[in-house]
Amino acid sequence: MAVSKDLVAASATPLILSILSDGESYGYAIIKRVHKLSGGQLQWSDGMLYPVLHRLEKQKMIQSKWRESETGRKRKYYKIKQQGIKMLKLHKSQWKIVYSTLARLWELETCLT
Amino acid sequence: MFDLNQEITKWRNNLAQPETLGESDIDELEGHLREDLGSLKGSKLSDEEAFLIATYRLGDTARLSDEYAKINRGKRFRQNASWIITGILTYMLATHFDAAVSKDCVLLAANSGITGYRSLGFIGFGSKILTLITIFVLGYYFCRFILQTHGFKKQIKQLTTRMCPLMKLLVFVLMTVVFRAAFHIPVPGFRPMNIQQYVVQASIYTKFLWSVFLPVILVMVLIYLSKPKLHEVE
Repeated sequence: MAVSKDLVAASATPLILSILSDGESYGYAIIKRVHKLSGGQLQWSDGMLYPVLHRLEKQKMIQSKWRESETGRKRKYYKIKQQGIKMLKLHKSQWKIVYSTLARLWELETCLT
Repeated sequence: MFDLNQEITKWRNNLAQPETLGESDIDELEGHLREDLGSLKGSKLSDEEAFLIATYRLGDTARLSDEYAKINRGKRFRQNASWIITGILTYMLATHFDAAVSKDCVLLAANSGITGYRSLGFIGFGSKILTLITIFVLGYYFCRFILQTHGFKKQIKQLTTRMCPLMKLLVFVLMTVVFRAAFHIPVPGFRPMNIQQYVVQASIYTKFLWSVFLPVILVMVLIYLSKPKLHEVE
């Protein structure tokens, strides 16, 4: 089952920040990581990732640098900044609230049925 | 025969068409495309099949362009404003240069013995038209040369980030304007002036200030607009 577009869009920032909090990465690797972690259920249009990355960079949450990869190809690497770590903490707490609320609600539903 | 590199160049040109994506954005997307092509070719797909799948995954040009337009709005505005200001400054340079050449031709003609308002007027008008045509033709060939050697996108990048040729042009404009204005400055004397003389004097000073400060202000705005923002620095 594929996740809806709205939910994919809403989760893009925390997902990217979480991946980058593990270490610097580049667009293609971020997409592959999300695909693997979600078992292919979070379907991002590959090109849509970059505007999100650029927006986060504009908001000074991440920073980028062009570097040569091991294959000799030029790649733009992204790295999380202090402000990004703070934002990630905020996102985590907000998503936890949503998750726990839904979990309680659905637990209640299961008890009633 | 399917030529992968040629198709990638076509795809790049297509992305560059709406002008919402910068060179760096397209480079990054091409990098992604090539990574994906590499992994798709590993699964025994032909170049053509791999290219079709990889470009499909990246999304269509219109949607990509819309998304990039949202984040590059400021950059686009600065680029457009830079072109407008460059246009105004070039126009000012052309008119000042044109007027200076026309006046010099009339003076030269008068000094070499040509008299009569009609003849001098004809020389002044003729030289003005000739100068304008020369500026237009030279400008056209200069632009053609620049676009052919560097490519349109590269030229925009050069103008907006490196500013080298533009700065030279601006210094030339400023020098011309200041030099020309300097000839029109009336030296204020100590003798008392009547109200009419004061009005004439004030209008001359206003003209002078306008012709000197307008280009200076425009150059300052241009430099401010062309300064790459931190997130745009590669």
